[in-house]
This record gives sequence, structure tokens and C-alpha cells, in this order.
Amino acid sequence: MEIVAVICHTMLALSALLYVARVAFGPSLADRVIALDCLLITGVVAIGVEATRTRSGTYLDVLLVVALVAFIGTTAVARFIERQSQP
Amino acid sequence: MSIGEAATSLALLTGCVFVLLAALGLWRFDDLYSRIHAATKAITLGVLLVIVAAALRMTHLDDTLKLILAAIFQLLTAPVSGHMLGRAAYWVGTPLSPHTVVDQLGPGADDGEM
Amino acid sequence: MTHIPAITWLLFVWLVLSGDVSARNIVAGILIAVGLVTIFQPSRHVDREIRVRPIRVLIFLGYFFIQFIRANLQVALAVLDPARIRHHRAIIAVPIAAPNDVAVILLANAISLTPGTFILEMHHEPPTLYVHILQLTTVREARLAILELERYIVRAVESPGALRRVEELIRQVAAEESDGERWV
Repeated sequence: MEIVAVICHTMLALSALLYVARVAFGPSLADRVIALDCLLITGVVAIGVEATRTRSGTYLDVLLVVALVAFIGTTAVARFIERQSQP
Repeated sequence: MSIGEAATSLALLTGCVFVLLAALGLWRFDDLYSRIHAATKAITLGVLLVIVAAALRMTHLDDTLKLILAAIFQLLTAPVSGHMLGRAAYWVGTPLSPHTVVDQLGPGADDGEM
Repeated sequence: MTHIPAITWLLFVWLVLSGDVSARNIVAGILIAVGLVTIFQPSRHVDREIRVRPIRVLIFLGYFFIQFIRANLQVALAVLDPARIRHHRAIIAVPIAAPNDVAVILLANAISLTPGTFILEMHHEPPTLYVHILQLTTVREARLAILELERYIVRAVESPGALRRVEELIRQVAAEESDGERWV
């Protein structure tokens, strides 16, 4: 299980780097926001992997809150983009 | 390694592979809307797999319930946020890649639909 | 008060989050749920004439789950080899029979998780969905796939006449442009 967790975290770290790169480069605001949303969800997945490895539910509240914040943040920026198209 | 541990490990690995695939997809696709496809679907499956693996390994029932709640939440909200982003980006005029068919008014034209 | 389902759901979420099922906590949960519902006033425009069929709901969930897995396989293949979709993206208009709000919401959310489709916009006058397609074969096939999904949903969350309208739409779409342009 330890080896599996290490492999998983390596993949997640790589994904996080790619997402951050997209936040930096993404030509439009929507690109950046999608990447940010996915970055937060990658955090959620990392917490999930840790919870599976340690079999403890200590950080599950953090998992839920991060997932919620990711959704609300993405929706808020989407509404902002929408409002931009109405002069 | 027991069957349960093997199944959990497989679920964890597959979930993280899909997160990585989504990250690659954000780079290899050339327009925003395809990236939304990759981000929404692959990430949701990744999260679901990891949450299922974690739920199987929890010792308390309320932890498992919290994880199930998180899974339901993620499944319900991922399409919604992706849709809102795609729609907003379309009406601002975010370009499509070499597209084949568009059955809607030209990009950027304000339909007054909002 | 017609917000009983909302209150029940909020109470359940409260109990799961606080992890403590004592009488005191249940009362606190009910108070908070009622307070939230009064402050935020969820919409009351739910149609009264829908009938939920549990077996059909399960069938729909099974179909949806299979489609979700296929959607991810398609995305995985497309990521590994983007040439598959390079010239096959599209936005198509799909006429739907929109029987009630619940069915439309279910359909819109389900579309975003089925192979190659992603909902972009919706018009009400002739109920139409605008869907972004990742890998278009023919417009007709894509529309039929979405109408098929709607048929599963309409069977699960029925309102009078809806099933008939969906099947009529399916026949209409299947009949027209039988030699439409094929992009694959």
C-alpha cells in the first residue's frame, strides 16, 4: 500500500504541475479557471489517497470543503465571464 | 496482499491515472471546449474511484458516509460547473478549433438568451 | 410547507457532516435546515404531475454508468492520440421533448457525462439543446444518441405524453437526412 501511495502521489504531483502550467499559459480566462478547478480536485484526490493509506478519516472534512470551494469558485468565475459579455 | 487491498490499490492507481490523463488532455487539446470534455469527465471518474477506494478502507461508518456524500456532490456538480464555464466562454467568443459543424449563431453574437 | 424533501436532504447532510446522531443534534439540524430553506427559498416551480418509477430509475442509472465509463475511455484514447478528434469537433442542435423541469435537468447533467457530448446551451421556444461533440460521426447519430438518453430519463421520471413525444422525435430524426455527411 505504501508503494501504491507513492506512485499515486507522484502522478498527482505531475498532474498538479501540468494544471499550474495551464493556469499560467491558458489563453483565456476560462482555460485558467478549468485548470484551477482541476488543481483543487487533485488536492481532493491527494487527501483521498492519504485517507486510504492511513485508514483514518481525520482529513475528510477538508476533502469535502475543498470540493465545495472548487465548485463555488468555478461557478462564481463563470458568472463573472458571463457578465463580461453584457456591456 | 489480500483481495481487498488489491482492489483498493487498483482503484487508487486507476483514479490517479485518470487525473493525469485529464492534465495531459488540458495540454494536448487545442480549444477550450475539448478541454472541458477532458477535465469534467476524466477528473470526475478519478475522484469517484479514489473516493470508492477510500470508503472501502474506512473503519467508521460516518467516515464512509462522508465520502459517499463527497462522491455524490462531485458527480452532481462537475457537469454543472463545466457547463456554466463553457456557456459563458462561448458567449464571450472563445474560439473553437477547426470545427466541423456549428448549428448555432456565430460566436460572440449576443443572442439575448441570458 | 412543501419544502419537505429539501429539509430532509439538508438534515441528512448536517448529520453526516457532524457525525453525531443524538436527539439534540437532530433538533439542531432541523432548525438549521428550516432556517436555510426560509432564507434561500428554493424554487417552488416543481411540476406536480411527474411520476417516478423506481425500476426505470435503476435502469437509467445502469445505462448512465456504462455510458460514463465509455465516455472516459473515449477521452483517454483522445488524450493519448489527439488526431482522433482533430477534425471531428462540432456543436449541434438537438430537438428534445422537454416534458418537465426534472427531466430536463437530469438530461442536461447526464449529457455532460456521456461519450463525446457536452451541453453548451439550451433554448426554450422549440425545446432545443446545443451540444458540443468531441468526435462527430454524423449529426443524425449524435442526435439519436441524445434522444435515446432522454428516452431512458423520460421513462424514469414520467409525465403524461412525454414518452410518446420522445419516440416521435426519435422517428423524425432517424428518418431525415439518411445520407447525411459522414465525418469519420
